[in-house]
Parts: sequence; structure tokens; C-alpha cells
Amino acid sequence: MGTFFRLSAFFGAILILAYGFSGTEGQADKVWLLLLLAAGILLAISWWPRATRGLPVFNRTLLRWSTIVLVCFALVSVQLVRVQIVESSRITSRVAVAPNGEVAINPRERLRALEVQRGRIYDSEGRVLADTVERDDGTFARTWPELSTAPLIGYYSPEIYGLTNLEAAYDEYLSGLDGGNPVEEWLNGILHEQQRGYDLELTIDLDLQNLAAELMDGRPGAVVLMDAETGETLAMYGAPVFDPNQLYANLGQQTEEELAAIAAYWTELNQNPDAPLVFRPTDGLYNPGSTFKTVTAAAIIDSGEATLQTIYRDEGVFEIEGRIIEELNRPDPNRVNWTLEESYAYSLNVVFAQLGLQLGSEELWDYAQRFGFGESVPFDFDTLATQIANDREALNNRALLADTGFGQGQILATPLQMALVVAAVLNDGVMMRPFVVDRVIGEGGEVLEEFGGDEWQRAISGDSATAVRDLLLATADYGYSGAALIEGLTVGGKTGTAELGDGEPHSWFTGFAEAGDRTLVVSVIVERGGPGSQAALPVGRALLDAAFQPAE
Amino acid sequence: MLQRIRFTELQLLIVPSAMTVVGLLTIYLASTRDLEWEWRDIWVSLAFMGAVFFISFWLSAIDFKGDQVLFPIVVCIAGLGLLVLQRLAPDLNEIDPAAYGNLARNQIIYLAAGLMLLLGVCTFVRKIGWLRRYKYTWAFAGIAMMTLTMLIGTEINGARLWIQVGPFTVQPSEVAKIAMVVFLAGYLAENRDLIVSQYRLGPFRLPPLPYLAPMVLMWGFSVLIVVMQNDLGTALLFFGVFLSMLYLASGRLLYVVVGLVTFGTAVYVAYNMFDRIGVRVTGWLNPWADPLDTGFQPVQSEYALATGELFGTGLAQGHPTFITQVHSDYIFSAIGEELGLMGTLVVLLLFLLLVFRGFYIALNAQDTFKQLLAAGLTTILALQTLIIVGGTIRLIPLTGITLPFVSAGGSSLLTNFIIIGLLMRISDPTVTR
Repeated sequence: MGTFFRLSAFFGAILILAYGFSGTEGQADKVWLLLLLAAGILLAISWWPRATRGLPVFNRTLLRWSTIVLVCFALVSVQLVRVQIVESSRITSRVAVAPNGEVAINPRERLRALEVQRGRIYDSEGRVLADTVERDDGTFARTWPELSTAPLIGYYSPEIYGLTNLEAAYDEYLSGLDGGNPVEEWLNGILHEQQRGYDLELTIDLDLQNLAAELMDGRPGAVVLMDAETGETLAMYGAPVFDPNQLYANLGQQTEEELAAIAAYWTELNQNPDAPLVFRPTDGLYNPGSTFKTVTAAAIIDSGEATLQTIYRDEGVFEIEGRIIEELNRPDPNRVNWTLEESYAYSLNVVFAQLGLQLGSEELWDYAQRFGFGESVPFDFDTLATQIANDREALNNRALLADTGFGQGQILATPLQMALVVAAVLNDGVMMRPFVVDRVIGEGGEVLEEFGGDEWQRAISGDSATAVRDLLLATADYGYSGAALIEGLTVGGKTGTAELGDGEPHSWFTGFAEAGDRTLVVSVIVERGGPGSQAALPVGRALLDAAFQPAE
Repeated sequence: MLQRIRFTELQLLIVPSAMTVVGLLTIYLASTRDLEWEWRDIWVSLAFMGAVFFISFWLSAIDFKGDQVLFPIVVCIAGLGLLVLQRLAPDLNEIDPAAYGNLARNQIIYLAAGLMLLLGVCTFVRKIGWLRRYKYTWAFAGIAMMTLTMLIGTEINGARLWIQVGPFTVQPSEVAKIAMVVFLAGYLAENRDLIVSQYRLGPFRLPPLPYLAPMVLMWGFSVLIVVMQNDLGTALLFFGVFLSMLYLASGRLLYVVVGLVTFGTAVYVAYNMFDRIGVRVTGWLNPWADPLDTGFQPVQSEYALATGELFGTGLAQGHPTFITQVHSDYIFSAIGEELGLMGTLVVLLLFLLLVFRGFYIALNAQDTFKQLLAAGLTTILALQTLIIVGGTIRLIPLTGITLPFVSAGGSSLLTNFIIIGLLMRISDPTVTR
């Protein structure tokens, strides 16, 4: 066999192995085993002993037999590389479920979770939101002293249910594996030093968070309070809450009864129709109702197709392709001409249906995207993707386009997304990237990492943003958000009432308050709370009010 | 006098013996988490070091002219095995004192006995040739031992591989494998020409069937082991050694192909008939489907290997004892966790060196019998390594077979040292018969 032939066999084997590494998963995947066999045959070809013709039988056969043994050793080595390097991290964190439903995890993960003193989580004032306490036996247990922030922080149950939200997203920092001096971390790993995880400092103000909890008073829903210019999240509350302390489990630390209690609590949470495990501010998808009119108005103004004073007709009923939109919001049923500003302040559905049609599906879709609809809001942890319509083609249906214009139709938004819409308007048209973890703090109190202050994207021009801000102010001034006004502050806002077909509608409020150079926006939803001005607006107003009270 | 000294061997022994001393010290310090230690804490390694240097000097003293590379390689592997077991024993003892209480002590005794055997073979078995004269005796003895195991053997973990002799459990298949190789080497060396010859029957060319009869017997016997003892590993080993020796002697690929195909068919039938083999196959292809029962060991082994990554956790710093059979079937996973890919590749490389040195000895042996004997004995080590390591990392189904010189188990350790002794003896150019 020629040198060329041998070389191509060798590289063929390499290619097959490379393909196997990338194309298959698991080291006993049947395809992978066949590829290994093929690679082995090619390797044997390329290494087959040359010029053995003249040799005695035994010498010739022994040389060949050695080659086969060598190839086998090579295949074993390749498989070792696969298990120990290529698939290493996938395997070590792999969770398997037995036929009887029991879960098997890597017992080393459990030990790591027991041995590392997981970092604390503080609010912006240094109050402890998640703590790790040492037990009598030298192991550590995680506790969450504040229930109002617990769902935001997430549960930490590495044994059984895993990790969520901040506990999951910042696991490496909290475990002391990333964020500090890499050499030191590596050395700690090599020397098996007792690890102390790093602490997180949040932008959350526990007082405001607790106030949000108090205002929601157990009603399912969500509250987001953030700084429009920085993206700092001051309060992010979802109700109902759950108690992560009751889900914390380390096998071998808990008795059978305790584990049974944990499992019972888990079942209870999962069977609860109010779904406490869904963190609504980022993962609750709701129809935004009239709060979406801010986006429609911003689009029509930014595209130059209308100004605040452009007159629209509202005769009380509007028909488009068989769909009849009835106007229920006119303060004066006999008046038919309304400016854009008035239409927004009085939340006139008929006008906004026309605005949707005027924009057309392409432009409305485009502006909604600029405001972040149709994707996940970039945040500290993964958030659910919002949507404008089921797909782009669907919006070509003019009835749906009209519905979308005033915030019904197929739009789905999270409370965080709706807060960002207002924040963009108040920040000269630019959406900041929202964040909740401010800093990572090392063992000696040194700041290891700081987050925040990043732009996400521009929604509209600065001039358009000023005009839309006027709309929000007008709504509070003479429109339906009048109840939001606060003495001494500049306040604007938009309520929303998301009709659900049956029963009470969802109650929305998105608004802002300004004093000096500080602008805070709020987004509140109370599920089945009725009209926006009744349930959601008072919560938002009280929160904005409290946020601007001088600290005692 | 000075020419007698085995300098190459002495030099090659320095690193492996130092490794066992440093390694044991590492284990001791890591488990006490302290920097205090005394020499007696690592007496095992010091004794081991003393023993191997004593053996080397002894071989020099008796003017032994055999190979000088083989012994250091074996010392390196056996030293690693010593370290791993000394490291595992305390942890296993904590889990189940009744079963593992004597593990560490027994390992030391077996290792000492093994080294003595090696020395004995090199010193007293001056000539190898006599072995072939009793080839049928060996074959009979081997078969008798295996048959006895099948009839009166003790069953451990579902496989009947052991015979209780007083306080000891002996694994006869370990001794039988040497007997088989000696027999095959003798038989094939004698009848080699006949086996290669062909005769015509009408239009067909047929192999010399009468002379292949003992071979067919071997085949049947291997299948019998699978069926009677539920022991695919030993069967695979016996049959693999048999086929490779047949090929080495005859150069006939056809025999190998026929052997493989028929054996494969027989195993496939057995797979469908016997649960235990079926369990092995599931444990090989998809242990994650049943991680707490049949897949428990493979899954735990995989966690251990994957935890090791490139450099491993360090000796006594990992948790290999989550695998319950870690001291025997899964010892390679313990190496993988604590010494990482570097460690496992080094172990493989050492075995490869050992095997190639064995083949080198076979090439240079003086007559056909010795050639076949050396190649056969080396093939035992090669196949055993490949079968158990391949099973551990799920290249093939796992079968209960020992990793030579590393896994716990007296019979295996002693037999493997005899194999090394025989190889060294064969490599002695001054002994002509």
C-alpha cells in the first residue's frame, strides 16, 4: 500500500472521529460505536506493517497482531478523551430519572453544594435576602429570610429540583468559582481549600419590595419598578410567592419525613392553579391591553404620520372586515373628532384601531420590535419571549391589525417588557438593559464585578420620545390616569384593561414619576383585577410615591 | 562481577519506586489534611521499593541475562495498583468493614507473594522447554480446574468463578489461562505445518480437520464458560487468546474469521437466552435509563471518569467509592477520577509498553514454542487490559475481569507475576533449551 493511501486512511480516520465527536452524543451511541469501528479499520490500514513478505510466518503474523492491538489501544484512548474531556461537563451535571421516577444525580455535586459556603445576597441597603448558615456538623444550609424577594432570587435545591433565577444565573459567583482572581480560584480548586462563595448586591430596595407585596395583598400579579435612565430594578415582585426554604434539600442532611414534606410542598406548588412557581415579572405573559397604545402612538409619531394634534374620527363604532369595534371610552358620546393626545388620554379604541391600520402591518411590527417585542428581554436571568402576533403573516389580517393597534389581538407581554416601553419614552427613546444584580462582592468586601448601565436598543427618536411623554402626562392631567397624580412630582401613566373573554379583565398600569434628575417607571398587573384604574393604578401610584420619599 | 549488574533495570526502577513512595505520602497527607507524617506511615511503599530493588540485585547476583525493561514496567503498573488500593481501602472499609476490612492488608500480602513468585520463576525455572512436554497435562489440568469451578464453585455477584479453599477463594480461571497458553503453544508448535496444510476433497480445498479438533474443543469450551458461568469476560479472553495464537502460528485469517463469526453467533444466542448477559448489554448501551439499578455502576463510573477531566482531582481527593465495585471491575474509573486523563493515558501507555515488550521478546525467542508461548502470555495481558478498560468506558459490555496488576484479587495478581516471570525467562538468551 502506498504512502498516499496510508496517509489518506489516517486522515480519513481523524475526520471520522471529528465527525463522531461533533455529531453524536453519549459514548455508547450506536452510531458513534460504528464510527469508532470504521476509524479503527482505517487506522489499521494506515499502520499496517510494510514489507512483511519475506519474513517467517510467525514474525509476519506477530507484527500484524501487534498492529491490531495498537489500534485497539488507540480506540480506547479516543474514548477516554471523549468521556473525560469532550463530554466531561455534560456528564458530571447529568441527571437521570429511574423507571420508578426517582432521580439520580452526580453525588459529587451534592458534596460540592455542601462544602462550599454559598455567597450571600443583599439588597441595595445591605440587608440580607439570602444567607448561608453553618450548621453544627460543619455543613452549610441556605436560607431566605425575606419572602417578598424569594421568588426573584429563586429556589436553590441542587439535590432535587435544581436552581432557578438568580441562584441559577449567578451560581458560579455564589459558589466562588468565577469572578475573583482566576489563579486563586484555580489554586483553591487544586488545593481543595474551603471555598467561600462571593456575595451579590442587588439594586432591589427591600422596603419598596415589601411595600409592593403589601399593596398586592396576595392578589396574583406582578410589580416592576425601575430607573428609566439606568435600568436599575428597585422592586420586582410577583405574587403569589412561594417559600424556597421549604424546597431546600440536601440528601443525607434531611430525614425521610423532611424530604417527604419538601416533596409535598413541591406537589402543592405545582398543583396550585395560581402557579406560584411562575415568576410573573419576567415569565408571566399577558395581553397588555391599552398599555400597548403607548407603542402604537410612539410609532405613528416617530414615523411622522401624525402629531399630537392630528384629528381622528371616533363615531362610537368601527367596522373592519366584519369585525365590529365598539367604543366604550369616550367621555362625551356625542363628540366625534378627537386629537391624538385626547385619544390616548381617553384610551379611544376606535382611534387606535385606525392608527394600527394607518401604520400597516409592516410598520407596526417593526416598531413593536424596536420596543423589544417578539424576543426575550435581556436580563440577569432568562426571561420569556414576548410576542406581537402568532406570526408576521397573521398581522396582515386587517381585523387583527386593528385589534393590535389598541392592544388586544395576539400580543403577549411580560410586566418587565411593559416597564421598558415607558422607560424608553422617558430615556429619550433609548431602552436600557434592565438589571437587578448590581455588584459581586469578594470575601474582603472588595468589588469584583459591577453590572448595569448598558443600552439595549433605541426604540424611537428623542423628539418623538418627548411627544409620547406628553401623552403620558396628558393622561394623568385630564385623562383616565388622573388618580396617579402625586403632590410634588411629575407623573404620567397609562392604564390598561385586558379583556379575557370571560370574567374580570386583567388590570394594568404603566407609568412614571420624575423629580429632579431621577425618573422611575412602574409596571403593575393585577390578574382579574378589573379596570386598570381600579386595581393596578393605586399600586403603581403608592409605589412611585414611596420611592420618592426621602429616606428616614 | 560488574558486568553482571543489571544497570538498565536499576535505572528504570528509580522513577516507579519513587512514585510509589511519593504517591503514598500524598495519599496519607491528603486523607489526614495535615503536614505531619512519619516514615512508618508510608512503610508499605518503602517495603515495596526495597523488594523490587532486592529482586533486581538478586537477578544480578544469579547472573540472570533476561530482559531488563519488563520488570520496571510491571513495577510501575503494580506500584500504581498498590497506591490506588491503599487509597481506596480505608474509604471502602468505612462503607462496609465486613467486606473490605482486609482489603489493604491482603493486597500487600498478594503483592509480596507475587514478587516472590516472579523471583522464583526467574531463579528456579531455568529451562522453559520442559513445559511443552507436558502440554496435554496442562490442558487437562486447566479444563479440570474450570470444570470443577462450574460444578462446585462459589457464586459471587452472579458469576460462578471462585472455589473456596480453606480461608481463600481461588479463581481457577486465572491459573487455567496460563495452562491453556502453554498447551496451545506446545500443540501449535508441534503441529503447525499440518494445520497450515490443506487436502482436496472433490472440488473443495479443506483444512486439515483432524488436527483442528482440539481447536474446536477450545471453542466449545469457551462457549461453555459463557453459558455455565455467566462469564463473558473470561470466555472472551480465552477465545481471544486462542484465536490470536492460532493465527500467529498458522497465518490463516480464515480460521480467525470462522472462529469469530461462530463465537459471535453463540454469544448472541446466549444473550437472548440469559438475563444476566442482557443486563450487561443494557448497562453498556443505555445505563442512564435505569440509573439506580442495573445502570447504577456504569453511571457512577461515568460520573467518576468525567469528574477527572485532564488532571484529575488528585489522589485521595476524589470520591471514587460512590462506585460500589470500584476496587475490582471499576478500578480504572478510580484512576480516571483522581489522576485524570493524564493518569488513564499513562496507565494505558504502560500496558502498551508492557505488551510490546512482550511481543519483542516473542520475536527474539529461540524456537517456535517459546515464540508462541511469549506471544500468547503477552496476549493475555493485552486482551485483559482491553476488555476491562473497554468495558469501563463503555466501548464494549462490561465483563468481570481484572485489570492486570491493579485490580484487587490474589489469584489474578499471582498469575500475572508468573506470566512476567515466564516472559523474562524466555527472554534469557543464555538458556538454549
